[in-house]
Amino acid sequence: MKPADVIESYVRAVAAQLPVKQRADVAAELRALLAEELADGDEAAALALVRRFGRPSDVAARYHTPYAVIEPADTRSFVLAAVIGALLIPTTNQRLPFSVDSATAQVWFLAWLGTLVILFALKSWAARRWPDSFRWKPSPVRDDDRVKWIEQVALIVVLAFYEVAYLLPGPVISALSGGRVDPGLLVYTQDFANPLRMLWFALFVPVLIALEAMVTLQGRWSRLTRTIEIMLFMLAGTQLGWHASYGDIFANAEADRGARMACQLLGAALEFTAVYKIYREWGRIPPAQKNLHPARA
Amino acid sequence: MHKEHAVLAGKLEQELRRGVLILAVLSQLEGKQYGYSLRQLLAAQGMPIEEGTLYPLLRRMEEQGLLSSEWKIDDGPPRRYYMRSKQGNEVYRDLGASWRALVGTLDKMMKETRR
Repeated sequence: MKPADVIESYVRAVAAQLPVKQRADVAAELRALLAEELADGDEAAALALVRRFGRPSDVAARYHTPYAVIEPADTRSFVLAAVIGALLIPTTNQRLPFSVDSATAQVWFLAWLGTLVILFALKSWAARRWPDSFRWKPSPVRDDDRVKWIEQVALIVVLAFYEVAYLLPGPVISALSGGRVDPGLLVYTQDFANPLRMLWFALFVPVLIALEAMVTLQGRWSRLTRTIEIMLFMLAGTQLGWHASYGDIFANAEADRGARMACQLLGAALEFTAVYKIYREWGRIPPAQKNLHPARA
Repeated sequence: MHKEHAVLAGKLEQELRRGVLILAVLSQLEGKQYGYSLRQLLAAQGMPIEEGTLYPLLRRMEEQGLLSSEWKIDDGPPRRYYMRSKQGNEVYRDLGASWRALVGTLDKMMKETRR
């Protein structure tokens, strides 16, 4: 290849990545400058020169700051949103009542990624278009370890309700439906009533209630209590997942399907909450010491 | 270990130089220069700048209004000549004052640390 062709090829590669209105002018200048730098050099000298100059995409970025579809600063949020979306896609385990085949799951995941790319690209564009609207604003500072009484009491009530409904499904559902559901339909099968299947969730829930009550009385969460809560959430979620997967909870097919659906949804909610809490624990920022903020004292 | 220090020091010096590139270029463009001649001029004064850095920088400075440019054909090939614009003169004056103040401050700080 002639040295002039090496230069020309390089100039075109750089110019092709610039805005259209800049291309011809930059190409003319770059061509002239590189030719002058090269003087009487041969092909090897021409290659060495353009390689020293930099990769065409890097050089183009020096001439004109390219816009990013996803801003580098948003990469972490993008990955996090992609993972959360993937976790929310129903399982491909066909034994579970809510499940999709793997092809559908792949289509949903790709659709989710595509949606995220569009949303982040719009955000990136809006931030360039209206930079003032994207200025950082302070948000209320919360003490995450301080117990919120109302939330805790509500959680304990809900857990206690789950425990009673789990142990006595017939009377509870019948009472909730105003007598429309026959309690006789909601009798556990012998297989499910076996201690190896039913018992575990019934044991986890009271332990969880005891933990929540103890923390409520203490007024604050500690690392130990947070860890125990996560473990209990995961154990209870896993147990409910097994219930949903193995089925044979009630002899009545319709009641069994309803129970499996409830177990899957509740189990998924517990597992999802546990994963969220693990993530928060992992990236936990220790609270500021009070004497560092005299104005707040 | 010594080599690592040298590499790190080299990188930091590059960053330091990158920070003063605009001032160096403005200082040499009271009169007209084209990219290649400016690079030679800067190198001759102890401020070598890679061509891949200098040529795009001239364009960006022109877009910022610090330089003005024109194409000229004098005997040789067509060349784009740059020089400081009116705004470039004002920025150069302000940047020069900031630079001198900064050097004074840093000198003072470094002398105090040495004591």
